Amino acid sequence: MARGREILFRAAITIALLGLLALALGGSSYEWDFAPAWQRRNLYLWGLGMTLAATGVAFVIGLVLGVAVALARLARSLVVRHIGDLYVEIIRGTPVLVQVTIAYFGIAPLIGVDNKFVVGTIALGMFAAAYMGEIFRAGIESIERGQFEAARSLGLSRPQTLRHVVFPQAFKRMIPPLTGELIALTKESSLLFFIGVMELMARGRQVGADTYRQFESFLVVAAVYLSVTIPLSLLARRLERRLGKSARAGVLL
Amino acid sequence: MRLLLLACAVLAAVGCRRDDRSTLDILLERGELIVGTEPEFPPFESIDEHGEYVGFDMDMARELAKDLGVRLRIEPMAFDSLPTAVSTGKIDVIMSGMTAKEERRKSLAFTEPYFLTGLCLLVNASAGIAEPADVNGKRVVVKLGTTGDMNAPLLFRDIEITRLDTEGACALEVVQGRADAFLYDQLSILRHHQQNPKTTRALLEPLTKEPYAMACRRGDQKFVDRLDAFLETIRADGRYDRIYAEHFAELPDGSR
Repeated sequence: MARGREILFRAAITIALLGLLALALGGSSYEWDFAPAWQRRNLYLWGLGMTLAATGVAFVIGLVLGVAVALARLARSLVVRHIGDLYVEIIRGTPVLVQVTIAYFGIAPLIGVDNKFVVGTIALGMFAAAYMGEIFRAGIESIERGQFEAARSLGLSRPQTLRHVVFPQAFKRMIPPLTGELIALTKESSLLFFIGVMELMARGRQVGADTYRQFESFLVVAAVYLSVTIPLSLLARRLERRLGKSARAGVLL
Repeated sequence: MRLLLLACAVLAAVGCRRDDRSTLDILLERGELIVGTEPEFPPFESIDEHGEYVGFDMDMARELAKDLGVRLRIEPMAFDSLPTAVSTGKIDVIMSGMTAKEERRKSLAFTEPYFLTGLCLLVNASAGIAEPADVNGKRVVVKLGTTGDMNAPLLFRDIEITRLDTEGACALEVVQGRADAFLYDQLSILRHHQQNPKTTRALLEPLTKEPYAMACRRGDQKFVDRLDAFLETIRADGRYDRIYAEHFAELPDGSR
């Protein structure tokens, strides 16, 4: 029952704080008008669809490429390790907007790709891979050395050790930072507006411009983003709790 | 030796893979005109409640495609990336309320102007600004990369400039009193004032002369000539007047 009480308590605090915010906004001298935004609700929905698609594709690219980056940075070969390091440093050290622009105007024409969505999501996925690679690396390195040694002494090869001993444990520790990355990516996908992908933020800007009501339009955009990111957070927390239980019960994945 | 020559030839071929033909020939062959625009600038270009491109520039684009006998594709993107897009051939022509400016001529070629306007001021009603000279020493907000951005330091003395990414954010700065004045295009200033009649005032006497023109790849004189011929045609046959009346009924004729 304590859990039920906590949920009620949290809901009450949330409503009280939102009420205060609404009161503060409503009390300013600004003349509010949400009617034009409501009339254009379809545009926001189309934008949301595009945002979800771009984020989803970029996240999958990030996962796959991220594992490769992490393995490269942990490799024994200096060349491979250096390429991995270089990738992470260059991608993490430059703004996504710059990467997306270079990808679309500079690299895409060279390889004959013209689709904004394709170029944009690949660029975004490559960006995510640098961060996700670091999450994977930290996860793998957080597993005690003794386990590697134990696995090796049992006759497991290095790939077998990673696959059967290290990854199942590391995966659980990676869930919270990976969720954070997915949420960050949801918002970072808004930078694709720059090359003309009509995602949620682009739609929000356009409605704001067309109606001369940017404030209202951006508040709608904020609400729509939250309607995606908050459930994601809750889902991740549940997953984490369930995996936590399985570990305590002595069951590995 | 022969191998070396071959390698050089391949390199050269890769080097001039870029299409040097006029955009006009390319688009006629393609059967499609690609117009680049940032649809955040009504009444020139915006997206209506049905998701359709509307505005003066968009109607002009439709006429242009008809005139060239090709399909029309409108490519939306950020205003800042339009010049790059036209230079790299992603779009054929920019129609986005763009002022033909000397600085921009370094990377773009402009047609004859199709609309004359100027920078005006949206001021906070309680900022004590009755005429443009009162703006000296005050806080001015501009939209990043626009002619307002370029001209603010030239038009006023001792001002504190804030640069923001969208028109709406700039207007809001003035509405909420964080900036005293917003230097921007005449029609937009008028509309923002109409949306916020109590908190703002509009000074609608243009401070600069800004000719809007279509922009294409620098050096592509053949395409510029074709576009100028189009402008001449629609001005002569009344199509221009019809589009103008549709969007700017409340304006004096001086903007044509």
